[in-house]
Amino acid sequence: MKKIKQILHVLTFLLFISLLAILQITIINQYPIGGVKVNLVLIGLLANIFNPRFGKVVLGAVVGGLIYDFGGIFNFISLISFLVTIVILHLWSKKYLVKKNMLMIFFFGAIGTIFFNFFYVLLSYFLFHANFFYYFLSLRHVVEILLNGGGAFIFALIGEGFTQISHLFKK
Amino acid sequence: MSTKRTNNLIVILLIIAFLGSFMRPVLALATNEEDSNNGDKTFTARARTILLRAVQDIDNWVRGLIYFKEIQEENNVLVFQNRALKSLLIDYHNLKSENELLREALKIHQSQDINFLLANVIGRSPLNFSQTFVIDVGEEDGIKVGQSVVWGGKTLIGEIIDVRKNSSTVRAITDSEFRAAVFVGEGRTEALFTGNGFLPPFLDLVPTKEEIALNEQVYTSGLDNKFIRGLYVGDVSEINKPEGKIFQEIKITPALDWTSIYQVLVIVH
Repeated sequence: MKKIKQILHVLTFLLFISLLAILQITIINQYPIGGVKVNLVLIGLLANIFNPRFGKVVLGAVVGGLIYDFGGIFNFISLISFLVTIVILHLWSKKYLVKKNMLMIFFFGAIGTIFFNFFYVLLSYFLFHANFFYYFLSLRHVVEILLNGGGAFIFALIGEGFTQISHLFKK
Repeated sequence: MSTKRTNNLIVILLIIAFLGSFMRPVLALATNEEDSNNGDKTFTARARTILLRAVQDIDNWVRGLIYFKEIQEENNVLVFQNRALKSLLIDYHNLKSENELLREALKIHQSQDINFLLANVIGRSPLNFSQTFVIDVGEEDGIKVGQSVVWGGKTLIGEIIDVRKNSSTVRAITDSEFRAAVFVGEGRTEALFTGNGFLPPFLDLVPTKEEIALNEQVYTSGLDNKFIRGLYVGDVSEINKPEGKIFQEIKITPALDWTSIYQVLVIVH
């Protein structure tokens, strides 16, 4: 019974990430904020960076990355960048943070965006000779960093709200 | 006895008179006639009309109760038919727009001897780095890397950069990796069109001595052997001639916004 519950938890999370990825490759393009698009999957993953069940976050990165790659050029760069980013940030948070802090989610959202974009730009350049450095060094990148940080914070707040409500019901 | 008979007769006559006077406006109402007195209805006629309407409403209500099931079934059938008709209407609109588009393409086909393939947009690039989208035609449909993608007659949208079995990736003209040889305006000034991500695309390699006016049309020149000549790209929106530089800075407003397009035409030579 416990195992089924765990599997259901993982499936719900994967469904959530898939939904975010589909939103990203369909309608987000039409609604840029300050000339940039927010990265919904990255926000969804980074909001769960303190999650004790880190395996499901890794699976979410795989699913989200594959949908992203399928939406653009199918070269697995998004997938690899997602994986590397969340693994580094997870290890980092485990090493230096004693306990979960909601405000830290904003910081991790911002840093995570820099990491993800950096790996994406680097891999695109070395594997496919695509030059995206102009974006990485532009002001719009700063806007994206702030937006993703804010987004991760809001997602985490909503998640925390749901957790509190479920705790109340359990009591 | 005779007085009793007379009384009965009077009562019967009164009933007949009452019924007669009641039936007359009913008949008049049925034939949409108005009362003869100055075109106005009398008080009794109005009262009868109200009464008749009330009776009719009660009759409808009772009928509704008796035939409730039949009416419900009929309603369900009508709702279903309505939905079916609506869906057919969507198909009709799609076919109409497709038909108009293909007629346009046919004109170009006849004049320039090129073939088109209609494709649906099934995905758009999720990140800020590239401006690409995925269409539902691929290798099996004869799509090859480098083919031009247009819409609305001869407006350039992008080029095919990746082909799979049943889908292809298109690089939009606003992508920072996109380049095309173009002519500007009627003077046919040669330039290099360059995408610039979410920022407006610009024209490169136009010497400062060349005279370019605002709102002049930019279209492919065909000199790069990549795109056919005459594909509309956009209009000149800003011109700067910085001192000490040999080339002008010209910004372009793209003719179409690729993020709001759901169908495209691929030029298959």
